[in-house]
Amino acid sequence: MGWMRGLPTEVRLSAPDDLLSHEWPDGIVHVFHPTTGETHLLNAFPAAVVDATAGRSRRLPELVEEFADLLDSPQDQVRRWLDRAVLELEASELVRIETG
Amino acid sequence: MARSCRARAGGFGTGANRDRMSAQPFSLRLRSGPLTIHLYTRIDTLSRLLRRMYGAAALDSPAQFADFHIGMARPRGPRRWLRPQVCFTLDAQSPFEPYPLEHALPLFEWGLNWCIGTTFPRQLMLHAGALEKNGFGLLLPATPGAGKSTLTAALCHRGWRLLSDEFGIVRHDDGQLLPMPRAIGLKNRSIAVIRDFAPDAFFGPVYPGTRKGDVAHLAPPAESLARQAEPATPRWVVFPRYAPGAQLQLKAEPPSVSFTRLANNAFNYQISGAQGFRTLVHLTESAMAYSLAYSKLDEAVAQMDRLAEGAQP
Repeated sequence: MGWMRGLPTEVRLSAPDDLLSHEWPDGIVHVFHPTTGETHLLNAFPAAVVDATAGRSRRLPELVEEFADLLDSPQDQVRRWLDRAVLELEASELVRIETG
Repeated sequence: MARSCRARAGGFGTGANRDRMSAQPFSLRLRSGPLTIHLYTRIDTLSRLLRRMYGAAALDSPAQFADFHIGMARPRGPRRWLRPQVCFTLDAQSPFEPYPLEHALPLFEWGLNWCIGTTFPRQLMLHAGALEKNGFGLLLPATPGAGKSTLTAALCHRGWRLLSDEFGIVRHDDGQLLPMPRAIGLKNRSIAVIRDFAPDAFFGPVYPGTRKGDVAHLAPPAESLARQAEPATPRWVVFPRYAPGAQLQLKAEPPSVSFTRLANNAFNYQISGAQGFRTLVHLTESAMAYSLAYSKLDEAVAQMDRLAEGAQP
């Protein structure tokens, strides 16, 4: 899982200007992946990454519970979704990861 | 995909069968919002029920183009007589296993939902109840068991026009909610709840022991059928959650949450591609979003009425 590797302590994710996306008033950004048709949450994930790299991986169950409630989905499904999305966002050319 | 069910809309029943077979096939073309459905069957009880439920939506012209050609017929072979069954066919193909003959109406309704959900991608389709009041649309997106159908059934008998209890259809071009009023399928305890709530409403029979428990169908109000060419401008998105003993609570949801929950409640969001993304963004920006927790139906209906009272045309 991405957050088990030595990730930077602060991560900012951003998307290219020509990517179909929408930023909501609370700063959450939804990005449309043109190939898979999936929609990713951008600014929600830095919290997960930062928490993991700060050694507080025990917060993962809390995040899973929070997202499961948010999405009305089973927690194991949300866990797999979070794991996959973090890896995809890191590996994807759609986003740049800046460290600070 | 179910094995082929070689059914035909023909033949006659015997005295041992509860459902008489009509000598003449019953053919109905009915309008359901943007769709035309052609149904043909010789199952007498089914044809009478559908005439009662949808008579106001029937189309006169037999030449009207139909989006779906649906057959409901008894199969060949021993299941025609021994614990008789009914087959659902779409364009003469059977997508499902047969059902007991006495469950013909539930099979028709669920089968038609499947047809619409899987083969009608032209607009954005949400798993949601949809209603209208004073020209404004209310969407009730929900997972199964959240109380969506019960609340939808109650609202359409308290001054709200039923658009649909299953499909919130959002037109890509202009974001309007399109009606598709159909019979509302109620399950288990909800049947008695709505009978008490709307004692003058027409219900089909209760079908015990179906795959979804006890099921009964509430006929769509005549006004909903008569006005099904009138779209509505979406104004509210309310995510309902019924829980026994829950205190009534209406909580505003930020757009980022509403967008995510709507996408997760859409039948065809992902295959709609970029167009679906833009339509969902527009819907999220246009409509105020809330979560609603409730246990008493009267309170939930009153809360929705208060939302409508605050809306300016």
